[in-house]
Amino acid sequence: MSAAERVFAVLLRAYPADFRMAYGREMMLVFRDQRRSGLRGLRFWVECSWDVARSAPPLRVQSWRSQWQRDSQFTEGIAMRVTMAILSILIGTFETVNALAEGRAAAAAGFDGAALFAVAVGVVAGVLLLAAGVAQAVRSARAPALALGAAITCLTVFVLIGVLLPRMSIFSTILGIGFPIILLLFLRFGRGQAARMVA
Amino acid sequence: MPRPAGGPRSPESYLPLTPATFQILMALVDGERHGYAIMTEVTERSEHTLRLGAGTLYGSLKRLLEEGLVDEGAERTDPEMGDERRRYYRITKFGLSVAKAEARRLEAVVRVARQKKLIGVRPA
Repeated sequence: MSAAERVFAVLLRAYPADFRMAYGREMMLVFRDQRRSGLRGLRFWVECSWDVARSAPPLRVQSWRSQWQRDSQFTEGIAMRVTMAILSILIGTFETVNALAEGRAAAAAGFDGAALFAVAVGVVAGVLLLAAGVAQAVRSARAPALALGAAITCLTVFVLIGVLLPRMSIFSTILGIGFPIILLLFLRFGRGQAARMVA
Repeated sequence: MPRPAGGPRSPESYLPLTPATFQILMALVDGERHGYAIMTEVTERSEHTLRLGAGTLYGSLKRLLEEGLVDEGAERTDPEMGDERRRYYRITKFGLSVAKAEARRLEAVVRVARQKKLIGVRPA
């Protein structure tokens, strides 16, 4: 590499790294061709420097902007996944504890078959939600399948309990129906986006 | 390279092109060219009124590639320029329609300038 090429290589540092990776070698070839064609002297160097001073800043700004967009999408993706994991854990725990409390109350009043069934499926749905939340939090490969299973089971269980055996509290039933719907929407529309952002 | 998402844009929506962009597209109308060949053609065709630096050239090519107006051809050597492998660029069908739209726009500008006798009048 000649001294002039070394100076031009220093000038190229003004461009963003991704641009240099893509076009640095080509630009150096063009510079070499210009020198071969007889372009030299102060005027040539002034033109080279002016060209770098004029073209590098917009490319830098463009590179920063796309980097910033990638970073914020990445953060958004993580925030979405963590929020869904925390909500799944909290609501799963709440539904499990609530189903057990309902069971205890039903036991005090004398168990019947319907109450036992409601308590059992309530506990299963709550534990499934809890497991789905933990799987999402630890980024398990099974998390999407587990979350889908938990959401469908929970939704079915709480709709059935709400319609056929209205023994659970209204709050627990609304939460048991509402959250699985949100989880299903996240799995359908948000997860792919979140996965792309986090990947 | 595919055109950016968000629906297809009409060639007219790219107008007016910067002189450098239009000259680069015009240099590619006749066929594939590598960077230095584009640069020399632009200098010669503009009668040395427009000299593209390497940064301006490749900055414009990057944007043209992203917008789907130009495509990358195969990388090969130019027998006249030594044995280094060079990346060749070619205009896309869409790039050609943008160049044609810009040429029509400039033609209209020239027509008006002629009507107003700004050009085409011999000096007394």
